[in-house]
Amino acid sequence: MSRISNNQIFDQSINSILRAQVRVSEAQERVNTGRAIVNPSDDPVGAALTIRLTEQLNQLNQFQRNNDLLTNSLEQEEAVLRSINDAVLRARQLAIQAGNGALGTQDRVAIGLEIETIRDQIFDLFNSQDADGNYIFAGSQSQSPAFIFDPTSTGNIYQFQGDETVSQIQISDNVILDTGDSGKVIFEDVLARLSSDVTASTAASANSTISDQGSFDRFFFANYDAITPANNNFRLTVNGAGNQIAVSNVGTGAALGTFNFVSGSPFVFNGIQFDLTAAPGDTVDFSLNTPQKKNFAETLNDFSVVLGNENISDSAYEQALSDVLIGLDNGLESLANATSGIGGRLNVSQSVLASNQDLVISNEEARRDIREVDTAEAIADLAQQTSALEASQATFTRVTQLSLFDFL
Amino acid sequence: MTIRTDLFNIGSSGLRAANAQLNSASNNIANVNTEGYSRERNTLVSSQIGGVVIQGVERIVDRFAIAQLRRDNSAVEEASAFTDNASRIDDILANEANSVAESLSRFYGALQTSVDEPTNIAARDLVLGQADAVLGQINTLESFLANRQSDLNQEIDSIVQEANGLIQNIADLNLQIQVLSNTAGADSPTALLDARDQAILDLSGIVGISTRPGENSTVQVDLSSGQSLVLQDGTFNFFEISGDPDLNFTSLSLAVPDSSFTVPVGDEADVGGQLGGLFRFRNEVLSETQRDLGLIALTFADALNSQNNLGLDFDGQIGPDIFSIDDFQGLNYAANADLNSTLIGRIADGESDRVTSRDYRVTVDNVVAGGPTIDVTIEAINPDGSPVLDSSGNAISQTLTGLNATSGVFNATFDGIEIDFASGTSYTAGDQFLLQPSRSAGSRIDLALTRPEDLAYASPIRVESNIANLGDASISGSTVTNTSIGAIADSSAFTAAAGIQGPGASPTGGGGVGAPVEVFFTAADSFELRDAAGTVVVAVNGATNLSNVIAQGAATAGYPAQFLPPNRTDYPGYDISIQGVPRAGDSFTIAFNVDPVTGVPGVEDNRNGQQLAALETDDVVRRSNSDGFLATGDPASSPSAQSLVGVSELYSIIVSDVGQQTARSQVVRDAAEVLQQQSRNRVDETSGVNLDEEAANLIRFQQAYSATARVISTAQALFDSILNATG
Repeated sequence: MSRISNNQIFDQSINSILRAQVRVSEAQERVNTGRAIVNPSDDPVGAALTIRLTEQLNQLNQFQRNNDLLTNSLEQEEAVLRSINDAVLRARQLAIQAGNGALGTQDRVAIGLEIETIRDQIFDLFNSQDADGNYIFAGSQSQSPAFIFDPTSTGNIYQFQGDETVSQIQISDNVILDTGDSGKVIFEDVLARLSSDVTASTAASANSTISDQGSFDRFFFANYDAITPANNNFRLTVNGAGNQIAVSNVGTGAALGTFNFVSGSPFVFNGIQFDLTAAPGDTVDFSLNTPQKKNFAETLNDFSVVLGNENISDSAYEQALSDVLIGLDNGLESLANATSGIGGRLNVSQSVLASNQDLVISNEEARRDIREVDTAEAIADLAQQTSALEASQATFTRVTQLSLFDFL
Repeated sequence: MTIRTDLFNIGSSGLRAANAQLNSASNNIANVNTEGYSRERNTLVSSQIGGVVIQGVERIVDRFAIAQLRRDNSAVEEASAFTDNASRIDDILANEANSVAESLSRFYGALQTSVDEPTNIAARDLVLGQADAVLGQINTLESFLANRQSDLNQEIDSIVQEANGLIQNIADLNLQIQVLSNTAGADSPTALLDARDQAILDLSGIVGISTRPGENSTVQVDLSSGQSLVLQDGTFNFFEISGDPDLNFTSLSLAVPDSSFTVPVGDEADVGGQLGGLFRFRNEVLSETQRDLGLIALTFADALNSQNNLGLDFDGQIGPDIFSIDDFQGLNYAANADLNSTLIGRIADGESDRVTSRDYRVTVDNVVAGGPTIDVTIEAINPDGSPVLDSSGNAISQTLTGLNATSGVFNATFDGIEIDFASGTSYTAGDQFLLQPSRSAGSRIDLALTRPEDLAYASPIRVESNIANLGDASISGSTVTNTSIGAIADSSAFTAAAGIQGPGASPTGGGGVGAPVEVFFTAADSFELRDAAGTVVVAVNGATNLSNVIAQGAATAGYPAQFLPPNRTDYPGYDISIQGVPRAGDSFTIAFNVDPVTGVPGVEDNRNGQQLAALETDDVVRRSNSDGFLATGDPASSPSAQSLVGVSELYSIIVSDVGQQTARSQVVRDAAEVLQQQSRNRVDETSGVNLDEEAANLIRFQQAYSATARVISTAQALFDSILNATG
């Protein structure tokens, strides 16, 4: 026969009340905090996951802020480049206008004045600043203007003085984009018109002009030797019959071909037109000039000087017109490349922004699923635990009131 | 037929018996709430000569139920002590305000924002503020843990005293019970037996014990691991606590009273009961957490320091350390010849990814005064002093010979640690020191930067393409791996005067070439590395790609041997990659990132800043403790990628580890409580007082008393009737 002691009756009742109280308090805390994980021990794996998800969310939010910053700065740069593009197109129009043979000196001076204004406008745009006063095209030297005007310089007087380092912004785990471009790459690294000159001649007369810039450029790039300057010298030799010209490289001695020739009429070799009056055995030396790089301001400045020069020869004026048109076209090409580069980065930043947003949503959902409690379930649970406690309390008084001594 | 005694005698024996039974019942009722009380019952036998004999008072106990209760009591107390303490750490880690991961997140958020706008000084200032907050956060947790440790020591101290009191109590009771049981005719000493059982039960809550019945109702008490606590002859052993070498990391031993003889208990975490639970909590949770948290602080600080050192600050100087990391002292073992000997350790700069959460025991093997050199053996040990085992189960230990024993000279050892024999050669062979590189390392770290300008967001090199270049190649990237300045083997090409070593200043000496600072193309796939004077350092022909061109040059015959290991481990310390097709004559130059004309550094440059920000997710903490030693300062022995985790990741691992241990111990405790409840029920069923039963007994014994009283009155009546008949 099993027996039960008085202590057991009390202990069991009290223990069940205590246990019920703990469960009520846990259920209450879940309802109050809305958290399924109050302590990491409630769900150790979930707790670690929550920490990582929170960290990722913070990082994603930071990436979104970075993205806004990147977009702002790229859009500002795009606007500046558009203004420069408009100004250059206007200058190009004026340059074509200046080629009109009917223009008098006064008209050229007037065009020159407008070109100067455009030059100053572009120079000003080169030195655009962002909201914090940083020069956006100066690379990492953003505290000083990207371009300076140095009239005493022997080379270009509109000079880039920043560097090529561009600050970067991280917009996702793996995507880091440049926030802008260096003026050196967009504006400064632009070829001026390539040219060649007759350097020596035994002929009666020898002049050269570039009649076909396209084929000359191809010849130039195929043959220009930056390391050995002597290899940039070429020689035309008239044959004994006086009806053919052999072309050779002075430095290497390589023969470039033999072409028919009539003295007194133009001889065209790879876009270079020689006006040549030569007898058999005459030689004409010409060389490829070292390529120059000029920015818009420099090109326009050169042109404005020419427009202001009343005593310029027609051929020099022609050369200057070619210089400005080709210089501006080369610059516009570089500008177009930069603009499409910006567009590309803006596209990437937009798509990263969208995918980051998706990640934020899915991470938040995942964190909610792990960490937060189903409110309805939690409240139902609290009610259940509360009634269990009430039942324990009720039975306590019942059970402990029973005593045989009451009947003695 | 036996001759019976008379009615009077029978009646009076009955009265005595009923009286004794009433006494027992009353005693049971009176002791209904006395802890450890076992109900009593009188043993009655009928006498051969008539009447009843009271043989004695008997405690109703179930010896096996009591033994079971003791075992379950030990288990419950052990699990409760562990759970109570672990859940306090669990609680503090649960609090988001205390989350190191959150503060790391805020720090890197501020860093990103600041890196986005490198010229914004206010944003840089915020980075320093957040860096301080991270340290503060780690320090808060570390001091909480340190307080827990000192509280724990006090708790262990008072529990040990309580245990010693109980041991003495049991021994005393043993003696008294022995005396009483030897006294003929004395009643069974039920109260003393109850008191001894209660004392043993209390002791079983403190440590796991087993008992053996001895002669003369004595009992022998042993630790469950075997050592004796109370012996039959009345002698006993005391617990003693001591800390060697770490006074705060106590260990348990048994001492024989009035003698200097002590026996270590062995594995404290295995003694069971409350003490075992506390020691186990200390070894498995507290110590681990302290070390892991220290590891977070160390790697966080060191990784940022190293990366900042690779950059150029707002003032155009190589970035200084962001945090200062103090050296740590080795702890003397008590057996050392001179307890004033000091051994100093530190973490080698930039090698925090080799540091583990292990402790190390350094044993001095041999001292050569003339050298002065010292040979040592270094063992990896756990917080409790046991050896760390590698994956094949062997202890990890290695001997180093011929270390420089000059005070102030740090010797490379293992796992990113360098040691300085601060006491020169005044060590004795056999001296031992305990190194705890990661324990509470956060308290050794301070924010060293006060000027936000010193955050090095820029790269120390500027790479420029020559404006006369005609090819379409451009620079696709630059890396900086070393900026240290000086004449030692790990120095770079950077000079103290904010420049790069030119001819004469470089390791090739006078007349030699300088560090490569120009890449000059002689053909689309061939280039020359040139120094600042334009002298060719090495020519590379037929390159298949143009990435890391300086490394390609270094791998080409003709590259100066003075630039290569072992003369220079990482020279010049930078490299560049080029993409696109260059033309012969194109060149790219590398210069110190300061404008040559104005002297202004590249302040808008944030290449190094991106690297700093990337540390948020970089894996820089070595997590595997069972790996072998990695030599300090040896680039050839670097930690494997799979053994590394990120800094915040380690924090989440800590949280989940502590959570798991707490959860597991809660389950163990709940299960043990159920078992304890069952065995307590078993004991109570047998020995507990039931008032209803006693009430019934009272009536029963009262009736017996009345009945025997009637026997006497009947005898009286009989006697009277005889008197009357004769009268």
